[in-house]
Amino acid sequence: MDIPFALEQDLIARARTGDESAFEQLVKTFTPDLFRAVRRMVADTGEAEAIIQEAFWRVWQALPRYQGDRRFFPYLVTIAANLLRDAWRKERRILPDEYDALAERFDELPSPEAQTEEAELSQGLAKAAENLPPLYRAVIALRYDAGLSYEAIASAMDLPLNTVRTYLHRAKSALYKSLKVAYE
Amino acid sequence: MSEADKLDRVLARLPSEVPSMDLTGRVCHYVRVKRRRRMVLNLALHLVLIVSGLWLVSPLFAALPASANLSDSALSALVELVKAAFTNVESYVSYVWNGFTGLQSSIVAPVSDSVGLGVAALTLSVLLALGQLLPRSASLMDKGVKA
Repeated sequence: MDIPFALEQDLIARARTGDESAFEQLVKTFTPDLFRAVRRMVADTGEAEAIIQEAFWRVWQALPRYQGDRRFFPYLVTIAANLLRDAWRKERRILPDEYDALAERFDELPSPEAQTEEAELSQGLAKAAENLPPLYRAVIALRYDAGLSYEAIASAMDLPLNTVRTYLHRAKSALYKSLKVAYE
Repeated sequence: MSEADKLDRVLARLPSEVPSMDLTGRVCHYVRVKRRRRMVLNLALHLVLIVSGLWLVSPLFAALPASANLSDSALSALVELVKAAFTNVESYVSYVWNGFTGLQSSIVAPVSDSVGLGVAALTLSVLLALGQLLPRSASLMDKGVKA
């Protein structure tokens, strides 16, 4: 995904004027990383693809208002996260009050086999991450897959900063248990 | 390296599903289709506004010859009529139908309202069209706006 900032800005500037080929270049450049982050947040591939399509459509619509001196990927991920957050709220898939109860599920998370190979450990953690509650998965994905700051995550998910810290801590604690088992 | 650091490092490199080869193509297609649909909707909206606007304004054209007789030129009469339609319906009615009987004025009063609505519909149509054109062209100028 790493393209020079100047090239990124040039593509955005052209897309803003309605240049479809520039926009398609942006899509090609950023889709793999966006998919990685979004796929971590949602249950299946189809849902991730639908979110990505809608995110790019929103970006296209919002390009005239895009502020041109910031990196594009955090902006794109934030739009995708907003879409997910709205979908979850609509479906009532997550309710903050339920989170303490959900946290108890951490003890039931499947632990990876005790193996020292990091690749296999990663696979186990990725599997464990899939079983986290949606918002915990989201903060993990936004932090580690998308590389967003705590502030940016708070803004994207419309959560207080401290809540982001708490969710991230709880999510990591759950995953840490898996890690520990793996190294024991 | 602490276990927390190790966890951070591993989390930053968690394996992930590879996107399908045609995903970018489908995203582009999706955006293209949505754009076309949006354009058709906008076109339909403009047509509705223009047609209904012209229909509502049509009584104005019937009244125009009479008003033109009262002024120096048809153009200045039209300008006055449009201005009056937005500002003061009563003055507009009295200007257009000056000299007519009270009965005639009472018949024309609802017509002047429809003219105002018609002009509003046409103006809205023009503004919407401009609104779609301006951001894309203006965006070139505000490239340096702060995040």
